[in-house]
This record gives sequence, structure tokens and C-alpha cells, in this order.
Amino acid sequence: MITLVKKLIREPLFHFLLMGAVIFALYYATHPVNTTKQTIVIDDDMVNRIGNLFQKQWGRQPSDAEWTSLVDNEIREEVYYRQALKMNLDHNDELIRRRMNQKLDFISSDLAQMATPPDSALQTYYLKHKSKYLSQASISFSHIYFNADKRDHAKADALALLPSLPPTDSNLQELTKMGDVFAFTYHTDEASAKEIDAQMGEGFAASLLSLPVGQWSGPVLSGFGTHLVFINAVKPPGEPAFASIKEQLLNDYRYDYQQQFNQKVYDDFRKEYTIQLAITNAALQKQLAGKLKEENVR
Amino acid sequence: MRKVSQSGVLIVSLLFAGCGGGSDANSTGKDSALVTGTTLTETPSQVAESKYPDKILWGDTHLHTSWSADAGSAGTTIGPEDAVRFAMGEEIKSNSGQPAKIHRPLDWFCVTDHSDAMGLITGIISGDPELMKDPVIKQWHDDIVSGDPKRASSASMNMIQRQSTKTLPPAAMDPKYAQSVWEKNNAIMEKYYKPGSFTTFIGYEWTSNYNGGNNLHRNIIYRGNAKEANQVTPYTTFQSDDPESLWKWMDAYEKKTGGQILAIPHNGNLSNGLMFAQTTLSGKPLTKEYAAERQKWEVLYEVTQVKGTSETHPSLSPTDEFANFEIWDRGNLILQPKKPGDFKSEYIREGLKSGLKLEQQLGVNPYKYGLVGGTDDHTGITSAEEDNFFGKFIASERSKDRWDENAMKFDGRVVKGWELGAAGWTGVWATANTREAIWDAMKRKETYASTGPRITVRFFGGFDFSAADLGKTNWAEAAYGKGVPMGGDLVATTAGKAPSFIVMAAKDPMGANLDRVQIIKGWVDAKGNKQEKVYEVVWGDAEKRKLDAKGKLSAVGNTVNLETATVDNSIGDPELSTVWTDPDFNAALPAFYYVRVLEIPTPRWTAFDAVKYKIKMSKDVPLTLQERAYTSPIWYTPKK
Repeated sequence: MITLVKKLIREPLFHFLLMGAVIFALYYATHPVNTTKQTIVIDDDMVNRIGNLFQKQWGRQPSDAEWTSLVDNEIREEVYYRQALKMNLDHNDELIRRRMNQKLDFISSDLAQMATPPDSALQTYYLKHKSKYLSQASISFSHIYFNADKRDHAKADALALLPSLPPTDSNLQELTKMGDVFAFTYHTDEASAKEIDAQMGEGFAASLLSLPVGQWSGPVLSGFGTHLVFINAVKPPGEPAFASIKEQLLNDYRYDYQQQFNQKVYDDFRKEYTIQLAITNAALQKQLAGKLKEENVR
Repeated sequence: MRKVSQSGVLIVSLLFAGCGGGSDANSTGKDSALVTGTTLTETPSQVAESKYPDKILWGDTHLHTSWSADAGSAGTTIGPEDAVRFAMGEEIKSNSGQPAKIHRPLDWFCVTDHSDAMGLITGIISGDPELMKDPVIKQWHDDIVSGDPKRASSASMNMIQRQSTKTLPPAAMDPKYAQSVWEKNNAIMEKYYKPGSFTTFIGYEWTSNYNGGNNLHRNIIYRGNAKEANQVTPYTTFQSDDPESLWKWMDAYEKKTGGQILAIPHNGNLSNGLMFAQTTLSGKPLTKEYAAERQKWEVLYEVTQVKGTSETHPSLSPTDEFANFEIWDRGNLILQPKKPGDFKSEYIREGLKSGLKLEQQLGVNPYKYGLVGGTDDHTGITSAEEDNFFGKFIASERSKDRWDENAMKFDGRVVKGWELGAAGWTGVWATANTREAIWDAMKRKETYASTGPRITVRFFGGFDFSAADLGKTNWAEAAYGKGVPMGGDLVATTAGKAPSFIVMAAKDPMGANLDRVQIIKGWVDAKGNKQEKVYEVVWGDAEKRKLDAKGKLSAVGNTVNLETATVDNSIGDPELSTVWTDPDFNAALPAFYYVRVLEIPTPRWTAFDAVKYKIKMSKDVPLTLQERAYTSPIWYTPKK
């Protein structure tokens, strides 16, 4: 310690700083205020803002007398505002904290939305999320229904019937009588996988896609029971042309980007902070400690 | 520290989602981020329509987001955009930060935020200086930004109470916020409307809590697009809380824009006797003109939702053993107690009967309603799945304690969390998944309500149906030719022949079997008395279950395992259909018929919670329920 002080006393910079401090102290002692006079500029921007606010409240522009007092008020407010800032009155004020949080979030969200991504970015996005934009498979099929509630061995009954079925579904009305009465139609034309699943239960369309076209096959399980199926035609899921889904891509791209961007902004800011816990409640301290430890090293 | 910053994010996103006022410099242009890329639908959608309504399309007519004042103040952060994305099947983050995804996407969807104080909430939270001059609003602001969920919730309850007792501060009723928020909502609906695959409707809720919380709310559903809807700011109860004034506004809207809108009343169970009253709201006797106006604008009634089911009450239907279902009968919306006799004009079955009787007196039936279901959730999350229930407010989102917490509380009057219901949705028989096709189906009442499961129900009435009509592959198409579907009118025959009804119900393909299908008939007898009867028309396990001498059917049984919250389909039937002829038909008496389909007992959301959180709930909490569908009625009117 003593060595450090000795070292400091010998240091020219220290002498310089010390002298500076003395000079400033003397200066303030002889010139208490006024010396660092600041400027408040009343410019067009301010006048317009005041005028617009007044217009909104009163439905007209201020009179000459009102202008004087409005500007007077504005000056008073600005002086108070600046002095309050100097006195750190904005610190630890819940309303101001939230308002500033909000402003930052607005800025971040705005930045995220400002850029119109080039087509190439949308195309990359499309490639990355291709499965989400595939057009639905479309299937035409007929079926014979075996109601498990009315039969002991619905699947066996279906399997037993299968070899005796003709190589066509042209006489469907008669063929369906070999099975049970079904609540919906026995023949479906060009329905999307989504529509088929909504009626028959999830996964039914996928099972149909694995079956051969142009012959009776199965059995296949639905939410209602067992079916023998005749696939008339299948249009597999396709990739829609970029132009036809561009608007949807743009919507989704922007939505995703905004979410990521806001998170990234927060993460970047967050990196600049280490959180220290100083909580009396030991249980809570322990609970939070684990999670914060991870976050602090990120 | 952490807690504060989290609620900071909550408030921020709320503001972002809902900044509405043009007076707030910081809001200008910021929120356009939400709606960029929008193109207005200029022409009716070019989607092929089938030749008869062959599609059952599922949706919600009733959902609130953070843009509703009471939802936003209670902590809901999900705005209309995320609400729509959830309904479409996208995963979102719930208000309490939990991942939320619907099991199966809906086909169509309508966000109905309150028109009263629409968008105001954003000004309250941001501390808009003009609003803060009012001490009440200042208090709300302080409560909401305090970060204390209890204070935020009390602000929300205070808003509901003041709105319903007409003691809202004048500044809260300033419509300047409403139009810009309305346009933003509509732009979002345009952005997500995909004719042919997913339909969004423009809509709002007109929230009349007449005379202190008597629930006369109406949801307004638009057939048209944003360009049309933007022309008129939604009607509020600050202008009037009398439905007759709303109908006048609807008329003016249609005349001005050339568009079409309809109104759906809901929660008669919380109206303290006003929903199907025998006088007008202002106490005058009902007139033919009143009846005609009501029938014109209000074709549908919401029978089931998160705040209980309003089909009938056990005291009104003492012989109906299924009447006691998700009943909320302790008061109105702010839990003001009922007067004796209020039930009689609160439930739709009794309302439909009143309608028949009033038609005899007035010449027009004022209560000629088809049926729909809506969730009325205030979380931005449409949530009618028992195993995926996100509650009414953020406080009833999934948590260990939500069943035992207060769902609603007014001056010590309480509804507990477990009383909330995971209901309901609407099935619409339409020719295409477009605004026009679905709205037109609503207008002709070809709709039914479900308490959650996607049960398919067909219902036709006519004088020439026989058992042979059901067997054919294209029976439904033929039935349109020979009779009328749900929501229709039977034209009286001179011969006095009894009508027959084709009814077909198929279980939710991913859900539980069906217990039974009932036809519920209401009529006015020769002495002028209202009557009802529940007919068991077809049921599951019919080889074992027979009707007794009184026409009653034994219970289907119960296969719910409460240890695992699962059910097995070893009882009931996957599909039930029949052709039924009214055995008690009297051609001289007016009547209606609607179908009620019951599932076998399944685990209620409380049972899923009990398993998930390993908790034991008190004895009064129901853990199973029989989910059900209610169709729009078919009416029979005798020839004069």
C-alpha cells in the first residue's frame, strides 16, 4: 500500500489531475451557477408538436395569447425535465422503466419489420420450411366399411372378403352391402388429405397413400373401424410455385423474423449483464440460482 | 428483479399488440408492423362450391384477445394475430409463457373483442396523460403496471363491474381509440383469410350488461371484408345497451355498406331473466315488429361456452336426466343473485317454446334461433379440448392451482376455477370454406353446437322420409331434395301426416363413442301450455339396452380411468342413425324438434389436471362429463 502511494506521488499524471481538481473546486466556489448555461431551442418541430396536440384536444389552432402560455409551459416542462434527469429522478420509477422498455421493444419490432426481404431470402425460407407449404395430397377412393362395434372380427371379415372383390369399384352400391352401413359417403372424389383426415381420423389419408391404385386393398383403420379401399386416383403432395404462395411466405417470414429479432436484441443486451442473487429467502435463492448460473455464462 | 423484467415484457407486448390511439406519438406507424403485406379481398373468393352442403366445417364464433379491455388488463398478451395463428394450428406461446398448440386446426374462426373501450386498454397501460387525469383510470393503470397479478386481476374485475353498472369514467368511453383498432383487427383477418382452406371472419362483441351485469351480449359476425367493415365503427353500449338499438344500427350498417351482418346472443344463463323475456327491455309488451326485427337480425343463439351451458335447467326440465350439465345459475355476469322465475326466460329450450307461443299471439316468432357454440375465452386461445384447456383468463391457464382459484369474484361472490367449461365450438354445413358459404349457412341456421368434440350430425325433417332413405350412398344429397335440413321449416300438409326425421351422428373420429341420440320436441298444447319431451331415438349398445315402459334408457356405463385420465371405447357406438317419426304428432299444434347427441362419459379437464399435477380435488369437482352436440331445430307450423 505504501509503495503504491509512493509510486503515485512520483507519477506526473497524478500531479496533473490533482491540480485540475483544485482548480475546478475553486472555480465552482466563486461561480456557483450560470457558468454551464444550457440552451433550450424553440424550433419548428416543437411549435408544430405543441400546435398539433392543442388541435387534437380543442379542435383548432391556439390563439396568440394561448401560444405564449403554451410555449411558456413547454419551457417550464423542459427545464423541470432536464433538472429532474440531473437529479436522477428517472431512476427506479416504475412508469418510466416500463415506458422505456416499451420504446425499446417498439424500435426492435420496427427494425424487424422494416426490411422487405428479397425474393431470394423468401425462397431460402421456402426451402427451409418446404414441408409446411406442400400442397395437400388429393385422393379419390371408394371403400367398404366393417363396423367393429357390430362385428367380433372386423379385420378378419375384411380380409376374408378381399380376394372375392372384382377389379373395379363400378358397382359400389352392391359392394358396400358386403360390409356395414357407413355414416358418410362410400366414395370420395379428389378430397385433400386434410379433409379426409377431418372426417376419418388423423392418419387415414397417409394410409391411403401407401396403397396401390386401381384395385381393392387394405384393410385400413379409421376412427370408425376397418375399411377395404379402392383407390381411383392419387395426386401426390406437390410443391406450389413460389409466386403462388409468396404473400403467405412473406407473412410467415416476417412473423418469424420479428420473433427471432426481438429475442436476439434481448439476448445481446442480456450478455452485458451478470445477475447476482442476494435474496434472504433461501429456497427462492436456490431455485433461481440454477437457472441464472446457466444464463450468466451464456 | 426477474419478475419485474418479465412483467415489463408482458406490458410491452400488450402495448405493441394493441396500441390504438392516434394521440400517442409513439404508436404512430409502429403497429403497422402487424399488418404489413395485407391485401384487401376485393372480390368474393373464387372457390368452387359443392352443389349441396357436404362439408362440416368447425370454428369458434366467440373469442377475446388482449385487445378486449377486461382481458388485456387481466394480463392477456395474445392479440388477434396470434389468436388466429393458434386456431390455424400454429404453435404460440400462451399468456403465461407455456407453449400452446391446438390438437387439430379449426376450419374457420372469428375474433370478437368487446366494442366497448376497444383499444382503450393500450392507452391505460401506456399511461396516456389525458386518460390519467381520471382517478379511476389512473388506479387501473397503477394496478396493471404494478406487476402484481392480484392487482391486475382486480382492475379487470373493476372494469367489468363498472362497464355493467354504467359507472365507467367518461374518458373510457371516448370512441377515438376504437376505429383504428377496428381497422387493425380487420387487416389481420384479411391477412389470414385463405378461401378454400381457412376462413377468418370480421366480428366484434356488443357487450350489453343491462341494469348491472344482466348479460345480453351479442356477437356481430360480418359476411364481408375489411374494406366494407372499416366504413363503420362498431356499435357500443355507450350509445345504447338495448338490443333494439343494436338492430337499428345493424340495419343502418347494411344500408350504408351494402354488406350483411348477423348477431348471436349468448349466456342467457347470466341474464337474470332478460334473454327471452316476455316484454321488451324497456318494459313494453312485445309486438309483431319487435319479433320481426329480432328474427331478422338474430338467427343463431350460442348455447354452450366457458361460462356454462344454456340449453335448459334442471328446474325447467325435471324429467330430463341430462339437463344438469355445466350449469351456472347463481347470478348474472357480476354474480348479482336471480329473482325466482328468472330461469324461465334464460335457457334456449324454454326460449324456443316461448317463441312458438308468442308467434300464436304476435304472428311472428321472436325466438327462432339456430344453435352454435363459442368459447368466449379471454386468453386469445380458443380452447374447447378437455386435455388442452387454457381457461378463461390468464389466471385459469394450465396450473396446479387453477381448479381451486377464483375464476370470477365480485364483492365476495365467487365462481371457482373448476366451474369453467372447456366448450364450445360450432359445426357448419357449408358448400365451401369461404366467408360467403359459411356465413350463408349460419344465416339459414344449418349449424350445430358442440361442447368440444367434432361429432358429425345430420338432421333432416320431411313428410316423405322412410328407413330406405338412409341406406343409399348419396342419402344426404337426396334428403335435401325430399325435406329440410336443421334450421329449416316444415311446410304443413293438409293430410295431417306426422313428420319423419333422418338423423345421423358419427363420433369425433379421434374421440369417444356415442351414448345416444335424442330428439327434443317442444310444443304449445291445445290449452296454450308450453310442453317438452325428450325422445330416445337411437342409442349405442342397442343389443343390450332397451327402453323401459316410460321410454327411458339405462345409462351407457362409464369406462373412464381417473388414474390416467383415459377412456376406452368398449361401450357406446361409433355411429348412430335412424329415421324417426313423431308418435305424438298433432297437426294443429306448433312444434320444434332438435337433436341432442351424447358421447359416452369422458375425462373432464379437471381430471386431466388432477393426473398431470398429481392433485386431489374436493368432492364437488366433476371429473367426468358427457360431451354433447345440439343441432339447430326444425320447426313445424300448422296451417292457419
